[in-house]
Amino acid sequence: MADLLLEIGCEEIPAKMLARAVAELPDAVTKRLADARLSHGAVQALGTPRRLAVIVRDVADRQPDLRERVVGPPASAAFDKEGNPTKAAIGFAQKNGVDPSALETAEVEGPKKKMGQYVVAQRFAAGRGAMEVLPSILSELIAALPWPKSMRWGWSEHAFVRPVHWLVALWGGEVLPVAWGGLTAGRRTRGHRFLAPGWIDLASPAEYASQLRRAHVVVDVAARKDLVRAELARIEQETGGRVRKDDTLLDEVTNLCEWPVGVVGSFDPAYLEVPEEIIVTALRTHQRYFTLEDRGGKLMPKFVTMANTVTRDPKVVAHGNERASAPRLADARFFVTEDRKKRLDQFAALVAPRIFLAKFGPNAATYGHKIKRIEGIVAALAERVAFDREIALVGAAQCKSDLATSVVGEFPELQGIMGMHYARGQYAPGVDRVIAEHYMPRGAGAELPASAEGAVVAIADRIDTLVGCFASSLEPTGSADPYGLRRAAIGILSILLARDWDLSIDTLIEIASQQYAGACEVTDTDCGELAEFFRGRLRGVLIEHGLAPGDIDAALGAGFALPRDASARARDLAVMPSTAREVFKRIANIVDDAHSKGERFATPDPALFKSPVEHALWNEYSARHDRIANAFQTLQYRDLFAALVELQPHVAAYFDKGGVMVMDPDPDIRANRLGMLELIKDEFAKVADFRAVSASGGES
Amino acid sequence: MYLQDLIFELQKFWADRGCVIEQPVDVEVGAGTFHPATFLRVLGPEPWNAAFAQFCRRPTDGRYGENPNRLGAYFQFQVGLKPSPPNVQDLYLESLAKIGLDARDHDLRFVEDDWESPTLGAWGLGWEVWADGMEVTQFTYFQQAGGIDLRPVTAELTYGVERIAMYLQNVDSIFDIKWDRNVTYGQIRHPWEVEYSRYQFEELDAPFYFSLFDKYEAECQRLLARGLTLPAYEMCMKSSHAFNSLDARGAISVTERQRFIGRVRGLARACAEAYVRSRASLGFPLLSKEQGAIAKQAFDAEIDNGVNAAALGAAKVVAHG
Repeated sequence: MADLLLEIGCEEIPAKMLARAVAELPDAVTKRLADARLSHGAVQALGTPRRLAVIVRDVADRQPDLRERVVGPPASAAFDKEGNPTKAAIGFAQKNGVDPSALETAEVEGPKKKMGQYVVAQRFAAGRGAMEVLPSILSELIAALPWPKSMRWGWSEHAFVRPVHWLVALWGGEVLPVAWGGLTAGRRTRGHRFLAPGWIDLASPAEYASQLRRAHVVVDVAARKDLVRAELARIEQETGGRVRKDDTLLDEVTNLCEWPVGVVGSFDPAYLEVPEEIIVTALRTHQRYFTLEDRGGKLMPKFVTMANTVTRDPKVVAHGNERASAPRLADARFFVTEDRKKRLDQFAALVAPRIFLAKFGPNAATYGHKIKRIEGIVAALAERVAFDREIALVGAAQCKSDLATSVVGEFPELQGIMGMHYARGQYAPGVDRVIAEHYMPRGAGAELPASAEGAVVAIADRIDTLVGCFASSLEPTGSADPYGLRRAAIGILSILLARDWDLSIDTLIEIASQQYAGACEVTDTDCGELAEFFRGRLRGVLIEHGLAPGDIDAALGAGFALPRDASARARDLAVMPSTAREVFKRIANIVDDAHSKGERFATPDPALFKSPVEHALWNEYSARHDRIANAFQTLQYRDLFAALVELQPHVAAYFDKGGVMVMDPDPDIRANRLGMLELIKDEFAKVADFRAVSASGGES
Repeated sequence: MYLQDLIFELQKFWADRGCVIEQPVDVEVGAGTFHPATFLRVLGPEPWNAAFAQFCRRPTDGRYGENPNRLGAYFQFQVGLKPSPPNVQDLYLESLAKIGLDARDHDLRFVEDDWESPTLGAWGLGWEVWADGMEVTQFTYFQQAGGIDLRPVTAELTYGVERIAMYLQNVDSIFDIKWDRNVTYGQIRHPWEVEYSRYQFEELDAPFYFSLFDKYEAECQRLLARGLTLPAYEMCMKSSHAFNSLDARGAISVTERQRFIGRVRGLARACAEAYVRSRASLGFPLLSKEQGAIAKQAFDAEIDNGVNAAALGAAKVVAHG
């Protein structure tokens, strides 16, 4: 066996597409090698803007021989009256390399998954050598790479993300003649476009990364990212500042370079009077610059760009970047100055007629409609949870106003942030935070609204979108979620999980539905589907929190309208071993079954007990009744479940051999026994449904 | 380097590499891509290498001459190489070195930037080229124009000459660029910026321009019906500029905007198809006689399936011939 290298040398691949290709390549290669029956070791994808590569360790010398039974035509169609093979049978035999006389018939599963008499052949294929097999599967791999957008060049009939210039394909020291797009692979790669432009001969895959490193190319993405980090650290040393963390930018910049070299530039400190989010965003969006802050966390009038080369005088590059970025900052300041000529409520009037979602219908589709509904929800919530009603309502009225500002027009990601800045001085303190915080959490696991008013408007905005979309048949299907509804539901759940509010999902859906009255019909089915949608998201969130899926399903099975409560029940269920769950599950099944058969249930009367196990269970249960009730009242689920665990042996004994038969022929005894079981069931059914299995809580 | 020397250098460089140095088109256009030397020549199987400076009008970008970085009209230096040669990036980088942007001194990057012109029904993939973080060129592999798939593909390089000049001359305002030894960009162009901003934003007679748009559109269609492709395309360019002017004047609502763009695109598409047909009927004269003949034959054989299919058919025989 030997290592395999494939490199596709390219004109500059877009950074995001490169990242995706590097992430997806190992699976694609693994699948093709598996299909080709070539065993191998680790698969590593590599890439820079000018190349996409993969190294596979220890690729086997040969495929193993293949012996398999193949199913052919139905026996009835395979032989004529004289028992001679028909055309169909002969064709099948030839295709599989066997003599027609060697065909047999057997009772097997045919093409339509139906058993029947079919012709079968024992096919044998001798394993082929890696040198023979690899070139074609690698050609196919290149042709099948799934670029989001691909192009042609020159006279090319083939398409790729950008023009391809060379291919390297080595298996150990051997060149694999991989052919694609008029190119045939060799052992020659190229170094950095400017620093080492010549061809480099590779003796084997083992020296790929090291040879390229000597040619100013760091081909491993993770290693290059480390290098970018090291450059940033060096600049922190030199400037005494701290680079503002920005992982997305870090990833992008890593894939814009083969040889990252950090360069610091400065900008006019006068720009620091502009809200710093704008400076940071303008420099990152237009220029892919990192920004620096001082020890106090204040933005410094400096930036870092990651050059892709070593030049004769880095000052020239720094100076050039300063010149390039100055107009960007001037524009940003101009936008702010223009925006500040209007009050936020003037922008609100501009936003109001804009369409939020046309599908909601003419009386519900605009931002103006949406704001009205958000205000209605906030007012209704003020009756249920504690927050400053006035601040929240003013914040709600202005929460989308900044969408009409120049800055947000230019930098959509600053929505909320600009509203916050512009609200200061125009509205009571706190309104600014509501506007910024109502977009929180801005991503999975991101910061939550700190203020109660921000949290309320954040919930109101999202539940309004969710209800409107479910009512307008815009719910997510499959992996498509164009309106971000999963994120919206998870946002609401994250806020509710973090706050001690007695606010149920059902209440939220009901309040939000009422706001659509007369404008857009929200049916009970819509509400029910939305509630189920929340259950699915809550399950996902709790799994993220590290809870066991079985515990989550049991807890949510007993109700999920109060996410915090459901989460506590799921967490505390961990104290219950599966053997305990089994016996209580049995109780639930018996009780439900009896109900469905119309059985009578009586208030338990110990005088009708026949067996010591009945007395024992009754006594043990009665002794814990107050404790369980109290635990339920005070949400001490751990104690509630602990009490159930203590009951477990007595329930087990009740059902065990030597125990009782619940469905006694005597109707009074039967009703008495069912009555006791139902009492016990009622204690746990409110907190956990032990029959719930994970299948019910999958992705929806 | 003076602005005019920058253009001279680029012209010389590309002329030495086989480009025809065309002159700007004498019709108002928003980009060099509208020049018939680009939009029409990229169609069909004939080779074409050309370069030219083009005066481009962007009425909405006018700032009364008050913004040092924005203009209502500016110059593009455009190069079209068809088919795109394998070493087009290297050639381009060589041209940068010629005008003083040497890779030994500057950080030169190719950063993804896909290009699309909804009015021309055209798109391509490529990059914006950065020199020390400054966008100096739009580099595009043209994939489609007038709704027609392009084979072969043209590489289009559009140099932003003012930006490059500002950088090379180390000036902070476009208007301070030295055009030559004696005259600045501002001295030549500033009055135009001031007056045209006023004209486009305040004085432009919208009803007049609406009627112009309708007339250009009708005339384009009439000329196409008479087999006059090149004058028809001129009307298409004029309708596009009329639309840009109305847009800058704020005379076109958001919903109407898409409709106007669609109308221009319709003209561009019809002109593109008519152009390929007319080149085919001439036997694709920029090909060799033999190639032109087989390309015409292939084109005619496929034309019942539409111009796009016919053009692809013609390209195929040229590519393999």
